[in-house]
Amino acid sequence: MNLTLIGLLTPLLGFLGLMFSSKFIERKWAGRIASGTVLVSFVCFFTLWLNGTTGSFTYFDWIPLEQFKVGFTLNIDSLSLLMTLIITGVGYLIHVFSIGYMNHDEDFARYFACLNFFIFSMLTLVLAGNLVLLFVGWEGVGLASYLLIGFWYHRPAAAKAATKAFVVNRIGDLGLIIGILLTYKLFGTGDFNEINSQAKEMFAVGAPVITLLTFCYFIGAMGKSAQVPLHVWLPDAMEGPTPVSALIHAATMVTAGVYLIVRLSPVFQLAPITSYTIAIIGMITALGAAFAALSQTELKKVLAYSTTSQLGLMFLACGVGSYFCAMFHLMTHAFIKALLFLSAGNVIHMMNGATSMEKMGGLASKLPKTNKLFILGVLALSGIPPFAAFVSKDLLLDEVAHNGYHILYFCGMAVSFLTAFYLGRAYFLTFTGKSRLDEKISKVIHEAPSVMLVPIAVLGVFTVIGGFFGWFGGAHAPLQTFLGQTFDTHGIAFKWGHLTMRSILIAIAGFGLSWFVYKVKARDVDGVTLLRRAFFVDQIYDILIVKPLTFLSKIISFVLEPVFFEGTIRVLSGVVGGIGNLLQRAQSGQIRSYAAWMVIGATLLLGFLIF
Amino acid sequence: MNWIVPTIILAPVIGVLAILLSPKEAEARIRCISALATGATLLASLLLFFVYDQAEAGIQFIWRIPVSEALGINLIFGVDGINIPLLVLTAVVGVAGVFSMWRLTNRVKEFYALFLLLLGGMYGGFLCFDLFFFFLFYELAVLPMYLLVTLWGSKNREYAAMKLTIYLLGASCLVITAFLMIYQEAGLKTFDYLILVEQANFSPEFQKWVFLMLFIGFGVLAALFPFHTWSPDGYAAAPTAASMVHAGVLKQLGIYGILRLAIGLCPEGLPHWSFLMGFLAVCNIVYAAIIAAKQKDLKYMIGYSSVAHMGVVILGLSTMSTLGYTGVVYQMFAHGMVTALLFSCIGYIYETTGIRNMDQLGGLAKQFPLIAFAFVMAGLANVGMPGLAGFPAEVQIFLAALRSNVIFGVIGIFGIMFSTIYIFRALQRSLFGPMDDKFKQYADANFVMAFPRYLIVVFLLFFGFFPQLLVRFIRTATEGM
Repeated sequence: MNLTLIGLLTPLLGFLGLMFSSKFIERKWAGRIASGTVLVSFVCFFTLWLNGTTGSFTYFDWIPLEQFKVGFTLNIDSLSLLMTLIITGVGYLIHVFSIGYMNHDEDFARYFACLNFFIFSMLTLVLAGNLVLLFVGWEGVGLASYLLIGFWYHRPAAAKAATKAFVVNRIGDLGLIIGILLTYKLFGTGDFNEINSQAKEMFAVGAPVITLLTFCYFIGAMGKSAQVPLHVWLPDAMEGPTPVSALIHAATMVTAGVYLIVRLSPVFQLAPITSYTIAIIGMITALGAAFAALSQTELKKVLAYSTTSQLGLMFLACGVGSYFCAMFHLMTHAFIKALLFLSAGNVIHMMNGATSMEKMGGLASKLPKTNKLFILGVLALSGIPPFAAFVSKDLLLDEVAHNGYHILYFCGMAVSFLTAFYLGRAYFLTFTGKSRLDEKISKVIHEAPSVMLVPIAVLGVFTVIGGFFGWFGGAHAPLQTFLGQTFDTHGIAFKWGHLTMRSILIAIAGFGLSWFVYKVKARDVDGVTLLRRAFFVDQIYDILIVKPLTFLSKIISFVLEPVFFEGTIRVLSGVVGGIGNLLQRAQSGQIRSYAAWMVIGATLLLGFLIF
Repeated sequence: MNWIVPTIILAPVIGVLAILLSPKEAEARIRCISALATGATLLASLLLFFVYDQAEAGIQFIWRIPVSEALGINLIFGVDGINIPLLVLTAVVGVAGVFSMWRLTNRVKEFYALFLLLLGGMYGGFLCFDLFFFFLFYELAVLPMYLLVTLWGSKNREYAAMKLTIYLLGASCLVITAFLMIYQEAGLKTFDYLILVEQANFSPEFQKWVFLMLFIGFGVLAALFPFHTWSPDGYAAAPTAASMVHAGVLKQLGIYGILRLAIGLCPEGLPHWSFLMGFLAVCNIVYAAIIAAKQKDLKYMIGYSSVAHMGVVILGLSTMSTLGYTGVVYQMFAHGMVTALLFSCIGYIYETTGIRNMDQLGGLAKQFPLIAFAFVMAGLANVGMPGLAGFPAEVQIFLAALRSNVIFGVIGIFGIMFSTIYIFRALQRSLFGPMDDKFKQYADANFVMAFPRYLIVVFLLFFGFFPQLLVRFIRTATEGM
């Protein structure tokens, strides 16, 4: 249990240390300290995993009210351990990569401090033993994301994207906080173990209040995991440095919504309506984002929409009640998407920050190693065997079909096809064909240094073997047995069948078509405007939400407030002033008028006394 | 330890006298005297935290000075779990205010004398357990404010000062009438709160109407909708330290009046009006938040944001529960500091650059990193970020609100989330983005200027991470209310 605390707090110490020494720390040491703390943290959780430690540990009372008892409780079980290993493992590799990526930036200390703060918050989120502590981590990662998207805050686009991400996330948080307060009202506790064990006894399946409660959680999950209709912040978030996109907006933070649902899966199992909605929303997101990814012209935006799409698949899995598949795909996706983003980071770094594919092409000869790693990621995420996402995605869609959701299964197949196609398109446009580089860049561009290549290579290894954790052993695959300690993974096993063959064929077809179009026919960077602008959702929100709200606040601040409230006050003060004037006139200083007033007053008084 | 309460009351008085005796030119000495006076009260009020006996609870360290036996007027001071956090708040804002105005060159002597007088009025108001003197201190807080706004204020100051005074004096008419009615009805010939609470026996009908009078009267001071319009104008026109005290502390005095006097003396009046209170509170939250979203002037934006947050406090009062009251005191403490910090940061930017329109600013994070960091922290605390003091307070209030009236609770939460929009819009436009070259000539805060801002940041962080210390403390007073 002390290892847990060390693992959690070391990144926090790194953050504090870097923040207070940011003025004088050397570049070399900032990177080393930041990655070192994450490595220590990784070792702690790895040891915990080896020892097979589980249990929840309360360190102190955080808010000690009987109606609202919140302890500082950390929960170690297979689910949280898996998440911590992904966070600190992938996190460490990305920290090391950042040393190379940020080697020209003058604000490196602030960058590494924020990165460490993110790791700390994310660990808090997954280790939290109760909802309120989870919310602390939840807001912490949102803040870290805000700070890192806006890292280059002097660029207006970055400042705007950061604000947008934070505000949209807060809309989701509105749902989550209401959900948390409702939980306290219903259960009298926020402790996950107590909620999960009591839910079944206290409520029947389909109880309206549980549907409401799970909906509230789901709104929170939608915001953080960029699900339709709260997905709009994620593509814009690509304004941040690329390692940040890899760590926060692909591998870890955006999966927090999936984690939340899996963590509270016993409650979600009682709410079939919510679950069904989750599946539908997940599918819409997966399909919509895959379409949007088809027409993006920026390399990072393709990957961003791809992330949204894959998260949609994880939500689909949660919705059909296959929580194991969601977690499995979360894990493989974390490796592959980090790999893809970091490879893209190599390209962008070597091109001095240019992200548009219109300025790329033919990079395979200039960046041979990056080229190989990127194609590995493309094949793996497309679902080509034996790479990681092949197993997890196939298992996921198998489960969807198994549970009787045939329409959703076919939509899932379409997503698979599109995924293979847009990833192939991105690859061919970037690495093959004729070069569209500026001459200045073309002359100096070279392969990335090993500090950037080695972390990607390690991720490459996991991209190859990651799927085996849930494959070998069938129903007793290692990951399945491990996660089975926390929630029910019974009856799910990867097996070859005609469904498997079908999904392999579809993946190959998608990739092949992109090869034909963008390699053989050598089509240029193109795109349908409707898809490139992602169905104009931003514009629709502007018309439906932003404009009316602006109008309302204009009316209130320029009409209601000044005319109604100020006006009343002015009239009142006018009346007071008028009376004052009258009284002033009465005090004319002439004895005759005073005498006249006295007579009138005396008469009135006399009249009053008599009658 | 009986010297602590007198110290808190007398330090500002002695400070004022010392400043008045100093020559006009000795500006450095005057600043140091003010810093010492406010610093002494800060230490004394923090000490109260440790020496107050939580096991025994109740009102402790009572200091009684007989004034008029015949009329039943006595000076009675005392502390309990409700007013100690507010004393700390006042002291922190006081210290921060003194240091925030360190660069002032215009009529330094008069400014600090009035500022200390204002703080003295606040301490008196929070500490006093005699209705007559409570009213006197309350008025003492209003008058220096008028002078501070008219003499050191910025644009539109005469109008704002007049409006402020008219509103607050109008409200105090209601309050004094209610006090006299209580004095008359109780028939105990005393203004002593402690005696009145224990012995007076008011009829339910009487409590109902007197409660309303007190609620409206103090509500005006707390910027209750629809009597809120004086406050944003007042803050915007006031000099930095006056806005800090005004928004951070003076409003809390209004809420304190409702909590201590209205609820304390007329507990049976509250249920009649709790729905109205909740409704007005929600109006505060939503209405002010929408206006704040449209403001370009940073001070007005924060002014309306503060009005919206006072709605949260009033919502907590309307829940009639220990949970809600504890949250109310916590929120007064937290929100007072947050608003003071926001005004302090904006004050620095305005005093340095002469601009407070967010569209004309931009990219200041590069030039003023220390101020920008404090500003972002204040913004985060304002939107209820966990780990900062606002969060535990709001969670308690909203949980209590959901228990008493679900709709009000949900709308209230919505309003707080809405605050993210305007706060982060303001941060984006003023601190981030490209910076105009004209700002290159200005320097970031030096130590003296950074100190007050970071003093508040430290308090926000401490009570955000360790809310249990304050919650336990407040509970000693709110338990069983």
